Amino acid sequence: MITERIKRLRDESLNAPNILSPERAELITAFYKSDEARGLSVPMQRARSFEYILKHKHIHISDGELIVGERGPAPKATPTYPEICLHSMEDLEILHNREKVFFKSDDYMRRVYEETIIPFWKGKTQRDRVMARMSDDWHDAYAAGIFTEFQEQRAPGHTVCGNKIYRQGIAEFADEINAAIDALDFESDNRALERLEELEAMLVVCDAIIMYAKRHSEKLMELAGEETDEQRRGELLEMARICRKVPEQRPETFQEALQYYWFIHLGVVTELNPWDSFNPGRLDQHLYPYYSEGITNGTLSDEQARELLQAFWIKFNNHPSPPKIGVTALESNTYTDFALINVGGVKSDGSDAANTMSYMILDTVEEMRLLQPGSMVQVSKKNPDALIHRALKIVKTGFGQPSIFNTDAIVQELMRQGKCVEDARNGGASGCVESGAFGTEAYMLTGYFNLAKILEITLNNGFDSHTNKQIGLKTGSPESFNSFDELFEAWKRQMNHFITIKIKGNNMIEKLYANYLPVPFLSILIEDCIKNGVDYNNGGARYNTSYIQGVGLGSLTDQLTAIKHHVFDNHDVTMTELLVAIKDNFEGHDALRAKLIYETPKYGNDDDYADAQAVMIFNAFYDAVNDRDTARGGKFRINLLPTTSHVYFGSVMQATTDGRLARQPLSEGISPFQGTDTQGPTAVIKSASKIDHIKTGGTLLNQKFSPSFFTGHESYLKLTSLIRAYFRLDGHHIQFNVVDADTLRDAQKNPENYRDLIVRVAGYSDYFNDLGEDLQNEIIRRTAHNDL
Amino acid sequence: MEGIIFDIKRFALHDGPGIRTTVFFKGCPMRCWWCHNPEGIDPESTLINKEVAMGEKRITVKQELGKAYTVEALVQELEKDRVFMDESNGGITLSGGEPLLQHEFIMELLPILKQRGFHVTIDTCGYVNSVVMAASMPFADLYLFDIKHMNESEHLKYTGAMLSTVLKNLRLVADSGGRIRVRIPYIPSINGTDEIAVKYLSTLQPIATAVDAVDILPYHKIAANKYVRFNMENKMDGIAEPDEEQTNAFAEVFRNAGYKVTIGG
Repeated sequence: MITERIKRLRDESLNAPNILSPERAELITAFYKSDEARGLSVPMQRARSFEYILKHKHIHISDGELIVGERGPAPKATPTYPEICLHSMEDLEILHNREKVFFKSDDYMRRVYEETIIPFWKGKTQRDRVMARMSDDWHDAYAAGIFTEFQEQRAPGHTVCGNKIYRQGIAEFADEINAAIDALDFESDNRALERLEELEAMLVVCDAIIMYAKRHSEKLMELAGEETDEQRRGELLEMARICRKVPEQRPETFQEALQYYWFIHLGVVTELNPWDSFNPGRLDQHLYPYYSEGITNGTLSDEQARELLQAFWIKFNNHPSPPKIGVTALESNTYTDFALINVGGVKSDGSDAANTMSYMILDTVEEMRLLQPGSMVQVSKKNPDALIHRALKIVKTGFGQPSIFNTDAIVQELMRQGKCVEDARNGGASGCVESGAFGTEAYMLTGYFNLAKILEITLNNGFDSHTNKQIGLKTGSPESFNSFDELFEAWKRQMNHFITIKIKGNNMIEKLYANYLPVPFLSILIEDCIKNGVDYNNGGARYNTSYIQGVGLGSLTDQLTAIKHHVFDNHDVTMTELLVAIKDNFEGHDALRAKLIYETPKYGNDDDYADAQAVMIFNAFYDAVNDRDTARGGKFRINLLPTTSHVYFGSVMQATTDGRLARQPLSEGISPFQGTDTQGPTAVIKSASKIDHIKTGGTLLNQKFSPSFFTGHESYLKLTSLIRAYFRLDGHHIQFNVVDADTLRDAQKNPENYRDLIVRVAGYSDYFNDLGEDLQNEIIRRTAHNDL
Repeated sequence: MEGIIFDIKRFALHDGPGIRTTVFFKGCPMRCWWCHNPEGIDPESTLINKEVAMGEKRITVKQELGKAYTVEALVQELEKDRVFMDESNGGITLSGGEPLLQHEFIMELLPILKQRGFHVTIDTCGYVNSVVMAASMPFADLYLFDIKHMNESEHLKYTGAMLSTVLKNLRLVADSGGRIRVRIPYIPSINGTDEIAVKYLSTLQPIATAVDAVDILPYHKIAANKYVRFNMENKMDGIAEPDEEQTNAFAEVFRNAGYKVTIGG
């Protein structure tokens, strides 16, 4: 049930125009120009700029709202972050005119950028620093599409709020910070001054967020004074009381808890533009005590709790992902900012964590049907099947949420990386599919890595046809390889070569963030930054992990398998024939292409002959990355997820030995290449579980079902069994895209009729109409297991 | 000993309980007009030309219809989805064609499946030697038993087989404690009269305690293009598919008699 009020707020959110707001850029520029900014330590400069923005930004409260606070001056008015990357006038124009995922800018925005923002920040942004420091090797590989770089336009984030904010008010955070200052050891700790500067900055941001909440309280009192409706006035007064109390003091009611988190969320996404925005994580666990107490003592009704949750959902939808600049806007193009709410899973003592709030949150997901926030269900062997059934009933409605995760695998993954068992159990997945210890870990994605492109480079003896440059090692002409093993060894050498380039770049970039863009506000939230007196971006968290995300596992498996099968095992095609056909993009080589597509073992069919290559690729990639040291004192790990990079990565590639034509997308996540899985979902699952998921920090498996599959209780039982079986095999994550191809084709033709059509893309959901045509086509092509 | 198999379908959801792997044995003693797997009638392997799409282009590739498996090789295939069967209380379904036609192979296979703890379902047309049927019984947990018509001469016309033999085997299974799901293809203009429905009920009545459910399988034309592809005569041209209302009404007859009824298996 949705109340009139929620319906209105939801419509307001859906209909709000996506515009760029100059407010934050103006304020931060004014601060950096002011006398106040001079002579401060870098952390203090960041803290004071944060305070300056919160002190001067417009306070927006929508009519009828229950949870208040906007990142910009109005819903969907999106700020920019010129200290990280600076939009040019041309960028503003592109964003304004872009057909999909546009951001409009008005004359004022353009004038402010032209006259104030661009002149001040040009050449002085974080992106400028990053690009200036990267080696020629790095730039060559980046231009060739070997890898992408996450931190060139957005700050490291990729983290999730734990339960700290429900235990303590910000005033108690400040006590903790003061205690850490008192404990500093100037006698023997040569980093004591650095710590002091960081901790002092933390104190400033504590005061700033309290001040920001109180500004809301004042505005609410003002509105209450003008309000003629008795009931609304009561609400406004109550909200004003809450904003006086939280986040300064710890929350004691359901509404206080939500409002507290929301101020924290706004703080994190105002300080910088961190990846995946911010995320309340295990929301059912955090809220349940407040819900239960409110129901017991009669201060909260079920209806009120539902309405508040719905109001909370709308706040996320009001905050699109901040837009990128230049060509990278094409790499990943979405309004989604990847906050992923977790429900279910286990408690820190390992017992079943599903509760009434888990189901209420799932109700909210279904009723609100909003792009943001994303939602997922954690399934442990201890959780009841009922939780999966409830999730599948929402999945059936075809908007791609919630996705389903294996808690037992996540806990093992995190413990393998060195987390203690309680921190692992308090974790979950965020962003697309990334495992993390919530509230205690800084886990940053650093970039997608094009595994398939490495084979192209290998088959060209290190030469890249996209940039016309020798960028790889000279590992020999492919015609000189006498065995498949020789070819694979050459691929491995090239892969290690580029991984090393990527890691050197990552470590440089991590230091640039530690030195130039510390985040004292995010740092107070993630343990043990205060205790260590070290910033989140500098390794202050209890656990520090940096990921490189492998892309194209399915495609590369098929490409290597085709060579092994035809050239080395069956001798029915020569390496030269293959190379010529690839160069010709298979023009005039139809018979060979048909053989490669239809008469070659493929990944995704539980065929050990093909899957053996997937395992070899996985192990080589793991060995190249895992356990290498990061600049923050953490470790590098691997992930296998693409978001939308498999489209970009395919676009920089020639035709491939699996029969794929030039420029076509690669496979995504650990899913088979589109259309090559002919043995049904159990075979896909078996293939996908031959790699050791526990050695990753997340994998992504996409399965498409037609809505007709979900008929009757039996189908839910069988899908539940399918999920349980995958998780028994240590599968990390599975998602179901439920929509039939005809619907999508029609949506492509008549987008106006499908404005609410949300589909699962890869690790997240998006409006079908907002996807580029190539991505739309790919989703249509993905094997639909229609004939079930 | 090898069996000739024309398909192994994993994640089969309508051939018995849970998630199953269904093995389609080649060769069938019946010639049903409406057969959905006409490629399974001929007991021999055949090589056919198959047209595949590559963008706008159509390329012809060879496809083998029917592949020889040893018991060991087949069991290895069936083990692949064990984890899904375990989770769903599923198992193996032997179908076809008519699996019991390859009885020598089947009788080697069945004890091994049983020994390995698989739930085994046999999908049979019932038109087989009673000795073979009896021999399969200790190893089968469930029979999907097709009864295609209730009128001896019509049965012969539309399937080329004797109804009496089918019914004899049905009694045999029921009387020896076998569990049965009766499967009835429903084609209104062929076996859809009230009179025939009543006959079905009276035939099932004596074995009712052995019947777990009645599956009504409404005729559909989904296989029509197979007849074109395999260059076979399609005798069903012009025969209409039942609509939902008709199918429900037919199913209702069995439901009213106290049977658990599913539509579409």
